[in-house]
Amino acid sequence: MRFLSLKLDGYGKFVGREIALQPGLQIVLGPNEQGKSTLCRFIGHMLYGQKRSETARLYEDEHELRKPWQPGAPYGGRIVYEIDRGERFEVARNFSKRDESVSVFSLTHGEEVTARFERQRNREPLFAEAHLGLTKAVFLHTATISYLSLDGLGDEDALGQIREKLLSLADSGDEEHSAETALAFLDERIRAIGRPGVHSKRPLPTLRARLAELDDELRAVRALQAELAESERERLDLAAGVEAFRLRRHELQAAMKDVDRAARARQLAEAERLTERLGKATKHCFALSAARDFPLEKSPDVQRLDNRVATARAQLERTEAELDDLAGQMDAESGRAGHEGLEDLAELDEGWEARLADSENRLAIARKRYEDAEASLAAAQSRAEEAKRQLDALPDFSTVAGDPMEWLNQMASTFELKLRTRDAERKERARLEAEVKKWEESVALPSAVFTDDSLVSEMRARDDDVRLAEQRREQALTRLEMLRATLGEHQADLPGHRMLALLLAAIALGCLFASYYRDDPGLTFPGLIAGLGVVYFFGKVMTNSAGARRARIKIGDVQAELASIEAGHASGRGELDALLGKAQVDTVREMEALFERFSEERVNLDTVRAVYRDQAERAREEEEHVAALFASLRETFAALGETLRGEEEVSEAAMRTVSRYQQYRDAKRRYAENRDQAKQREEEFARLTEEVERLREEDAQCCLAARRLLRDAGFADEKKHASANSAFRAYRIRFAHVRQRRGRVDVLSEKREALTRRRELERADLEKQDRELKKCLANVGVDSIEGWRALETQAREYKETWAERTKLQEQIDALLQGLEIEALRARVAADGAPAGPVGLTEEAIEEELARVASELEGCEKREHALKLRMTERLAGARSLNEIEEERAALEARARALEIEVEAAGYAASLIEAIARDKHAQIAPRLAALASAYLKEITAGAYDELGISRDLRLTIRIPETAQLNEDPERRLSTGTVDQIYLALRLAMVQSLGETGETIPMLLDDPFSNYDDERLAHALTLLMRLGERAQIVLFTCRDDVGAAARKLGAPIIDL
Amino acid sequence: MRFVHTADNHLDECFAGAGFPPHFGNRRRQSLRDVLAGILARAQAWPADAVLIAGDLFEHARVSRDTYSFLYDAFARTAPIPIFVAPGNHDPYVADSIYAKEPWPENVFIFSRPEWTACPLDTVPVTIHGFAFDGPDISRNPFGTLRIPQDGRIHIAVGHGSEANHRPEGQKEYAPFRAADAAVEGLAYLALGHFHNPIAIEGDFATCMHYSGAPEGHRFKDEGPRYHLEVEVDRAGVQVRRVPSARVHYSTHAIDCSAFTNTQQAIEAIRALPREEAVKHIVRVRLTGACPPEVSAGLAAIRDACAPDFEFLKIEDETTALEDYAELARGSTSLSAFLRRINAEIADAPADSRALLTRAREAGLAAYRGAALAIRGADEG
Repeated sequence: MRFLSLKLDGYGKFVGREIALQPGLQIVLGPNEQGKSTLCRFIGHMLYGQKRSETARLYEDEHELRKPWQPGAPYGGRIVYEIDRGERFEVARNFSKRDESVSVFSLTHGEEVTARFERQRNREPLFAEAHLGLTKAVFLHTATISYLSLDGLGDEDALGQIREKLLSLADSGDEEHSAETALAFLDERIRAIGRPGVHSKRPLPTLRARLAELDDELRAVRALQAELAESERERLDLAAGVEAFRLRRHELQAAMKDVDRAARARQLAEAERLTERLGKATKHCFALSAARDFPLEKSPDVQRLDNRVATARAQLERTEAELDDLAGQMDAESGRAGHEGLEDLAELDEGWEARLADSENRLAIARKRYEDAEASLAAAQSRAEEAKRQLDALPDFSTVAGDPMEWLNQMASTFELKLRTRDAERKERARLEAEVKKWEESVALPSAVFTDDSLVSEMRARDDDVRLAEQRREQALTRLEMLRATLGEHQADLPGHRMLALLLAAIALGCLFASYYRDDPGLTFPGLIAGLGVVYFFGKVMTNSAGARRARIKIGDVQAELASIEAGHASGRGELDALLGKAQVDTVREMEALFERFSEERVNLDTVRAVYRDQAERAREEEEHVAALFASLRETFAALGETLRGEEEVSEAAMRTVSRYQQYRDAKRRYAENRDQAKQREEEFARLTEEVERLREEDAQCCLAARRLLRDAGFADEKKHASANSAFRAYRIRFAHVRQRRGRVDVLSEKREALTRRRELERADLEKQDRELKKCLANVGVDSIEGWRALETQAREYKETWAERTKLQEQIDALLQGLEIEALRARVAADGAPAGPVGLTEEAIEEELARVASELEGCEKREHALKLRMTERLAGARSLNEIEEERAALEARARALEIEVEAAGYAASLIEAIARDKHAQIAPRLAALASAYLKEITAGAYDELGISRDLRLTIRIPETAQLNEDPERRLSTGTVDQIYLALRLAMVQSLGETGETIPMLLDDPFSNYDDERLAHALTLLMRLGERAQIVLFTCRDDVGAAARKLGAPIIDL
Repeated sequence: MRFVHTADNHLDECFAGAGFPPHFGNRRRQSLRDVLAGILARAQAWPADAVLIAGDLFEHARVSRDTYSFLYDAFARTAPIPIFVAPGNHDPYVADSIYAKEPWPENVFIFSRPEWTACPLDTVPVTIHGFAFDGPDISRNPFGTLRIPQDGRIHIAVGHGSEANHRPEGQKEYAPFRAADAAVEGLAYLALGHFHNPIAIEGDFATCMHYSGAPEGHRFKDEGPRYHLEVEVDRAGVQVRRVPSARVHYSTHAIDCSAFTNTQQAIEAIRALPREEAVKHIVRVRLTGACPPEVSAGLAAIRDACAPDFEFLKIEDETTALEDYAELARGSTSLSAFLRRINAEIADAPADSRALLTRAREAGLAAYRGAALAIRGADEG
């Protein structure tokens, strides 16, 4: 398709402006704000309209923005374009919402064709999509390469941004949204909802957790309901019990009424009987009324006075008899004292007895100690002899110098250390022997492979050759594809040019013949013109043929080169694989690693062998040293009574010898101790013998002095006693007897004087009591105590009768309980005849009633407690309805969220698969075209642009001649812009599905180009313009000048 | 003889699955109680000679002691008007039913056997016949077995069951019968329960036969006003009058959002839905049609704006995006390929997985465009 003309009736700043467009590249030149972008948008809107929705009349924001600035101007315009098959169309649009219209008119056929095109739901006819094979979004974002698209490129992540734009163009048709961003969007959406089974605070896991809680609550409430149902059954049983008890209580209360009637009849009879007894008591009181005022309260006083008189008289008589008896005793005691006589015995100091006893005790103690010392001396002498015998029975260690224990332990430790050293050396020798064997086994296989150390470097060289061949093959394949494309282009134009050349030749010949034969010079000129055409097209045929031929030759060369590369590659690969197989590795890198390991292991083996030899020598020396030491030990222990049979017995023999030495040392110590003790006992015995003799002498002197003193005190019986001590004890007994008799006579005399004083007092008291008694009797008119007692008996009888009467009255009152007896008689009469025997006594009924009331109260309490318990159990628990309703509501929400997660996940999987296929599909063609364009723009400086299956970009850097995946540091901003332009141009060629050429609208894409590359880029656009129309909008005069040089038409705004 | 006929109160019903938010069920259950109390109060004011309850008074498995206590008080307040209850399949007369194990006021007579039982009234020459479900399914079907004696009294029957010619499609049968069989000679009126819609059964028979319907709706399918029946019977005939009893009306509306360009239009459309002033409304609104993303993304705002006008407002989003997926599928981009593939899958998919694929298509398109797409179920308000 190419645009022929634009007519802007009213669109932004343009009113009534018409612009004719040429085929190929053309430049729309004008300063900023002159409407270049407006023209660009006008073309898009004319082709695809202004609606932003395919299904409703919703307009883009630009609808308002692009309204004519001039009031009253019609909002719309016309565009004329021609599609590749030659048909021309004119599209007329009115963008005004009120009278919006669009019409498509075929200029070729001269008819309105709008109805031929399918319409969207927003009523927009799809003519542009039918002609271009591009949707609105893809056309606007792919074919329109605006200045803004390039803005911001050139930084370090430029290729990454270009890749994202490429992805977006391929995936969504715009420059912002790719499958990758869509996948990230969906992944974020799923994370925002929360994945099922993952614990987080996102809505879905939160809901699931709450649902689990509700399930638990539901189970708990159901269990509670079962429990309450059981309690309810229990409560109903209790309620039945309560009812039964209430019934029984009612029966008992009826029986109780019968009992009450009978009781009332009995009450009346009892009341009548008590009233009769009351009358009799009243009469008897009247008869005793004379003694009514007798002072009964004084009777105890009178009786007490009478008793006192009698008591005082008896006491006086007892005191007089006692005085008589005491006088008799004094007479008898005086008689006995005179018969025995009173001795004149002097009293001695009591210290003499203590002194004698002390002297005797000290002598006894000294004697006891003397006897003990004698026995101790004999025992010490016996023990010393026993210790001497034991010492003689043990070996003599006195010949050993120093401490024998330390010496023996040191000897055993030294030998043990030597043994351990020898064993360690032996073990190390065995370990080194095993290690030598291991290293020998390890290097066995590489030794067979690496017979020559240069093998690895040779293999590395061969591998480099193989890689180089593969790289060359890739390059040859790329060149082959480009050459085939060039050949295709030449061959495609050749038949047309050839036909035109033949046709024009026929016309030229015809015209010349006609001119010659008809002699019509007017036909000569057309013939010449046709001839020129023949020359032109023949030249084109020749050029295309030569180009095709050159392409074929180059293809042949490249194919031959490819075959040569393949052959070399196969040969090198085969040898390499054989060596790799022998070494049982897959790559040369692994082979190198194997060789490095082999070299290291060889060095290790030699080192280990040298160490092993040294170790074997050390082990042998240790073994000899241990044998010599053991022989020496055997002789030493034999001298101390021990026989050594093996190395392992050395420690035990040393321990036994040490034990024996300890016995020897103890025996020697015991002998010395016992011998010293015997000497000490002998000295002690001699000292005690002297002390006993001295004490015996002192005791004799003390006894003589004591006897002399007794005789001086008048104790003549001193001679009768064997010891001074016994003489003193007899003196003490005799002196105590004399003192006792003197005291008894003194006591009897004092007692007689006291009794005499007491008799006088008792006589006075008797007279006083007698006077008071007589005074009391006179008060009631009697003169003796007997008269008093007769009157008192009458008074008591009166009082008792009166009290009985009062008691009877109280009984009647209690029986009638406030009723008059007449009223009771009336009620009994009203009760009528008794109801017959009740069957139960009142007590039995009351007892039964009490029991029933108790049971009833118990049942009611249990029922109440059960109700309370049920209420308590229910308190705080939600009903099943509430839980199930919340659960259903949450379950519905959780299900909705799960559907959202599932839907997003499914959409993501589809998008990922589709995008992967799509990218893999367009990548090779995009790479080939973009490489060619880039090579042309950069004049061959950059000739290869790689695009992987996921649209990742690599570029071959000239300095290194290698594909670089991270080329940003080596690329200038301008180069990145050029890469982007090459890719965008390639995208336009790749996305068209119908084969229709797509016109391109470029909005100032050369901001970072130098003059040379600008010229190359314009040359490329000129060449691309031969196939597709390119409208380049720019404000730069240098671009206009460069385009002018190339012959591109300039449209000045 | 004047009596009130009601049925299917379903006290203590569970509203799980009805689409209500948590705790809203408690309000609904209270409303059901209020409705029954209102019917009994009106029976006293009219005054009625009797109240007939034709089954499903409550939910046997869920009835609480509090509800029993409420029923006891409400029935006791209605005394001396006798109340006849014929237990249905939801409140069968079984051993552990509150009918059997709890005491009831003296003016309440509960039929307890699965065969017809006669109960003559003292105040008027009328005999009430009734039966009870003795389990979730009745052990014997008593319809057609009623024998009316020629005793000069007016005979009225009350029962719970499915009349064959009026059974809603798909509903299970309980004590099924044909109206002609149930209309025995001498029976003046048959008070029926089970169907939630009020139905007058007519036919070639003399007995007047009515389903009173539920006095208040229980689900969105119970749309519109609900009634109890006030019936007058004398020797001349039977007069039946439907008296509105529901305090809440259910209704479902579909609103086509195709022409809407903003949420305000949707809000105004919902606010303009027809509704009576005297009662509350539980409304389900289905938004349909293709609408711009501003509308479909603003459902929460629409709900919040309109909810105060209703007892409960449930908005179901059945809108389709304002996209021509067939048109978008034409193209060479990955997006077009994705839409081609998923469009084909949706076209071939069984009905149960079509919703998932449709949502996957919306999610995929939004992802390609980087456009916001509300998460359904994330916030139900």
